Amino acid sequence: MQIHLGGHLHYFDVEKRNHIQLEIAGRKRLQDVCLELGVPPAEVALAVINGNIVDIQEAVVENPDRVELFSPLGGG
Amino acid sequence: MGFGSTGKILRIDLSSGSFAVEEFDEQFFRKYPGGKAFAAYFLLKECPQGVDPFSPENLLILATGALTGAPVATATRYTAAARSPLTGAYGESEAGGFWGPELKFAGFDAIIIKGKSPKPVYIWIKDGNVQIRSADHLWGNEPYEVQETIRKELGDNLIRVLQIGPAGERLVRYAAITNELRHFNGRNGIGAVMGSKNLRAIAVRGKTRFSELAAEPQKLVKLGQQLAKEAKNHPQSMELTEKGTPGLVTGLNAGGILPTLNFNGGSFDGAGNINWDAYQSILNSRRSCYACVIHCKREVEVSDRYEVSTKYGGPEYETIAAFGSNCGVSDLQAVAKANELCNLYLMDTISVGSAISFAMECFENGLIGLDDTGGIPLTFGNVDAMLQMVELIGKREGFGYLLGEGVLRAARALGRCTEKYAMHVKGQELPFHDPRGKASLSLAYAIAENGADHLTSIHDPALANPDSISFKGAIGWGTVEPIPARELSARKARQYLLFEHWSSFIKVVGLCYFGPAPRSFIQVDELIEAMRAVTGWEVTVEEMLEMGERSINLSRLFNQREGFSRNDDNLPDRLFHGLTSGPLSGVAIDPQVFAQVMTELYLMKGWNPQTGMPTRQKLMELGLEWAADLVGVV
Repeated sequence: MQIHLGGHLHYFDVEKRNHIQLEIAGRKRLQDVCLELGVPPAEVALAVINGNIVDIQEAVVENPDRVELFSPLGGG
Repeated sequence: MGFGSTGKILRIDLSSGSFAVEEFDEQFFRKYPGGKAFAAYFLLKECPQGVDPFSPENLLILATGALTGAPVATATRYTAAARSPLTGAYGESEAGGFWGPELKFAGFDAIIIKGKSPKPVYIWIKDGNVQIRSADHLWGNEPYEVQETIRKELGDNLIRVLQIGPAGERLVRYAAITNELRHFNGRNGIGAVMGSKNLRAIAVRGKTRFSELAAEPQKLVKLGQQLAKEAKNHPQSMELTEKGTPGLVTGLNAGGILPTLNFNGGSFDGAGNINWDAYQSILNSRRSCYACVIHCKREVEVSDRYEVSTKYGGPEYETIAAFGSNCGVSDLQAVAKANELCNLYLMDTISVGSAISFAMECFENGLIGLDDTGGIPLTFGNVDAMLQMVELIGKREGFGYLLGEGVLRAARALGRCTEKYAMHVKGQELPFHDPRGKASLSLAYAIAENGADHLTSIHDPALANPDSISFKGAIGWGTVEPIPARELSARKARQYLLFEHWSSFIKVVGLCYFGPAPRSFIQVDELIEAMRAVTGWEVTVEEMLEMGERSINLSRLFNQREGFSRNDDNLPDRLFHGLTSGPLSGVAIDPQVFAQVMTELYLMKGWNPQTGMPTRQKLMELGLEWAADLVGVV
């Protein structure tokens, strides 16, 4: 599974990675994947799985999903 | 003076070549603490009603704020203002960099310029001394050469140079001002007003230290050091350090609100070629403004399909959307080239890109043809055509002359039903954040006195989740509640209004949008501490917000006097129709809901919902009785 930590979410990853390759066993709640990466779900303003916007509280992921997570997209 | 200010305004009359220094007291400054407040106050009070923006009677105001130059990250900014030649309304644009602090160190909080020099000139200010010097040898030259020449002839490489470019000289209606070649007062065409006065540049140098101006300098230094550490360890400012605004492209595209093909769509197939991952292939370095540790500015270098040097900085998010997705261009090198050309001619990249995407859509739909464009096939995605048009606008040649008038004037001159493709409010081209996905921006774009503006409040996603860092950073400013980003409602209007005052306040005191929470790292109690250390005033959140609100009301009165009304607070029709691509396909702003919420917003502001103008009662509350009398508000 490919995970993109967009906006400031990579701040929470120990290695400060923007892109992460991750293998998971079976299906997992997206929220749990975030927590395992150290990303607080409350900081995820936009979650996209394989190009579709999803609700992070309900979404489930599996290999080889492409997951994009973004913090609030502010102005500037 | 002890309250963050020199207490001096420099007044220059370029017609006579004379100047004078005006002093003001602390009482005046507490009510109007610089920046946007100075701009609105003096434009309303001294700019003649109905003045042609290009006439000598129009004022050009450059004003620092109370915090500008303080040793605190993001306290770098100043306001450039005039009656806008693009909108005919109150015109204003802020920039960071180094010039604002240096003006203060040279002895002045602001400069008010009127008149028109008979020949090109530049102004040289050093430690309170002022000279008006010939710019015959600078006129028509590239900004880099102008800056180098001025520094050489004045014998000091640390002189800070603010200037216009060839586009300002030729009165392109969205001409910009730069300082240090990389920081821009881009919007509203203030650079064209400067050009109309035959004023090419203002060079400043001063020895004053901010500690001489601050009420509690030692406390301020300590706070500045603390904030610098926090900036390096806060997720929001750290993101700005690493990616800067180009980091927005991927998320906005994924969320379906990356303006695409002149705001038709919200997702761009070529986004992967213009996003932050792609940007790193042209990134040369990161740069900062005065005393700021964030370093959100990028410099790029290209030596491939195009040659792009580091001299004029690198494209921000707005520029990437302007010349990328919104023109259907997926070549980041071409976007970087367009950015360099705009910064060389000195034009607002938002307006230039929007003018070209407008023309592209007209061309694609057969409303204009090769006879109009001088043989240039202005189709979406045509990189060569886009770059040719940037050059023609900068030179005011061929079809570029018309596009340099802005999309509203261009559409009206062309006729042929082209106005439906002109994406503007009050004549100013839309920035590249789509209100169909960030609902409060529909209010922001419509109601801003200076035309469509994306920096008048906090964008909706930051306030959608009560457990997010940004939401928590918002709480200290007033009552906030979590509201979904696409909700347009009375409660959204109330929240918009709170942060409209916040945004206006930071423009008044000279802070950057990337400083305070909820957008970034400086928490409200820290900002109060900074304000107190600089000014010595026991300010409260309420007083700071009122400083912002007062300035908005003054600029509103300027527009009222010039004949603007609620009818001008509208949106391009396209935003009331569904997006045509991306995950939000079909999503539109409901026109009836929009009208109703606008009415609610006027009432919340204490304004007349029929006219869209301040009531006398509101003006009295803000201590603006003089302004009510001046404009005849009964």
